[in-house]
Amino acid sequence: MNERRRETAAALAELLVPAGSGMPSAREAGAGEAGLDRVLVALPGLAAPLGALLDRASGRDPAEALAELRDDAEAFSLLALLAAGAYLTEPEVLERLGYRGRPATPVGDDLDDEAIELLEAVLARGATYRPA
Amino acid sequence: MSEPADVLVVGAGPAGAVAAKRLTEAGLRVVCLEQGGWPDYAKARAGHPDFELTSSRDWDWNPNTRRAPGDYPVADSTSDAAALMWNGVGGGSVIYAGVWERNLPSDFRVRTLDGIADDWPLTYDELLPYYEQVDRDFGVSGLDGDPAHPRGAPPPLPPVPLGTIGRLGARAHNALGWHWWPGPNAIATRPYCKRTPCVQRTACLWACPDGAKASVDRTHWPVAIERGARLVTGARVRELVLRDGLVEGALWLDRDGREHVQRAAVTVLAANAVGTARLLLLSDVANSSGLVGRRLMIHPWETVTGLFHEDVGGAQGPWGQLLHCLEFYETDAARGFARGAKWGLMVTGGPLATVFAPQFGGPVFGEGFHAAVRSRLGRSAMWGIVGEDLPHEENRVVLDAELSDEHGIPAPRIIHTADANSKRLMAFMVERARESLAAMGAYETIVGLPSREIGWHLLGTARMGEDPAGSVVDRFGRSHDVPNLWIVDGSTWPTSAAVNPTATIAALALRSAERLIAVRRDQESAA
Repeated sequence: MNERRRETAAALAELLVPAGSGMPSAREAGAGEAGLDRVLVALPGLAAPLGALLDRASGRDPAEALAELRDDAEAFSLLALLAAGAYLTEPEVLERLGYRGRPATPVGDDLDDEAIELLEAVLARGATYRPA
Repeated sequence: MSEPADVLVVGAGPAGAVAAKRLTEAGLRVVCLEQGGWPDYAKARAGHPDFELTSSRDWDWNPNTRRAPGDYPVADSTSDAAALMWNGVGGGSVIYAGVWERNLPSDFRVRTLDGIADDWPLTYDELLPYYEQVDRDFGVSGLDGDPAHPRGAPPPLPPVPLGTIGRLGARAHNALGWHWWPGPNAIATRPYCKRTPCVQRTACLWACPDGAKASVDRTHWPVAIERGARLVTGARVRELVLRDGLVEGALWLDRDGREHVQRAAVTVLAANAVGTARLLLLSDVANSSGLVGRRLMIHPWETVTGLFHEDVGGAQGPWGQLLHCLEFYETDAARGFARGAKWGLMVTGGPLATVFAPQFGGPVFGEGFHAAVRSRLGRSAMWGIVGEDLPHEENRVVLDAELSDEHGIPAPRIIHTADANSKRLMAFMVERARESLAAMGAYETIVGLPSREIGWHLLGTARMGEDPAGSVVDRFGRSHDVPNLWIVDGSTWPTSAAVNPTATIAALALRSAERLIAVRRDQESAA
């Protein structure tokens, strides 16, 4: 992805994910740089169609280009994947969201006294299946 | 030409694996032909930062978009649901959620009890010993005593934790007077037969990297192979070879398109209701009833998601089911439809799921993006609703006139439309699920986006029955027309029930295998 495409990616992505609510925009979170790279490493098959999309939008007013893309479902979903995929894999964004990923967390046994009481209430209501 | 086998199994998913393992235990020489390969768990990236991006790349559920080497195209423009499947060793168990449900006794007596569809040629009680055995073989976790089922042997492992979401559901349903119980899953919660316990990667539907979820590439095939089964991958069966009214074996193509013949005394089909029907139609065999391919049933599926003000743990957990609810499973004519549905209470996934997963009703971009992500991530829970699909002959699998696979073999076309009963049923369930989530404290409920990507459960295209004029196989899955041809997958179901089918498919496959062993001395064979 050349600089022109990266700038276009950042400009379009920040329209989909603007700054707000204490969160950075997609551009600020690297959607045209490291974020774009992360998406393309994970999904290399997107490089060609995404490149073509960015070339079409390049040099144009981003809002106008985005409006046109919204009419093309396939192109819009590609852009949406870039914007959200880059943004929601950025470590700083995830930290601000309080998302710690999926660390290995052993399942415990939580059938404590409260759970048993809850279960007993189900049993008290009796069988629910039809014998056959 | 390979050495003849005692039994040829076509398909290495749960049905084929269960049959092969049991047959090798009995000393039979088994060859399995599987068109796909072994799953590559190096690509199971749960726990890694790129998981949500790579999961759809490597573990896509739809063969038409996945296009892996073992896949064949399925023409589905005439179906309201796309056929979802995994064509490889492990079959659907590689990508299923691990939800493990038995059919209920009434599922085997639909005609008798509800005056519609058909009865099965066997009862719940006859299948019970096999249900209990497959629970042990798959290492099922759950809790004994569920009042929605008759009593039987307890599951071998304790249930996955209720967690915050489960407790909310439990309290709400007790207040409503509705059934709930800890969810049964084929997910290990303790070390079990070389499997490690679940560590909640929230990845069940995209291949469990830790081996906690039971998939038959891990639970059954290593055992069967150690006992002498030969599993041939990259083997696309083109047609069954017949001689004097018996199946002699199968003609198959390798990845380079070279033809091979595998002969066997007995052939067992386990290629799912689309693949098995396709093969029977290609071979023009076992169809004196005219029912091969017909009565395709696909469970309707809906989600209803609740949003909560606090984090309820929706971003991480087994993706399996925390609870299940069978309150609305049995027919109540007053509702305006027949049959019912099973609900499973589930987590909702990670950050990208909040944007793209259908359970959230669609992405929100622009000014509302951040609020949408924050309101959904961890602060949500969903009911997944599996409804019954009644059998109709016009819902069917046929051979497509134009589409073919890479070898030029005609592709299957699926023709399916959910009937009015299913639609009324699901509309009812959605409203009840909204009530449930409101009772749980959800401030907002979201009905999932309509989607065609729901064809998880493919059933019915080679139905069992006592009368050869009205069925394809007998009560044990043996073809009425071809004495040495057996079918052990979900094709044989006369009705669909309204629960995840893998447990019943596995139990039936085990029962068929044991029957095959019992009658083998009297079994007609071509070899």
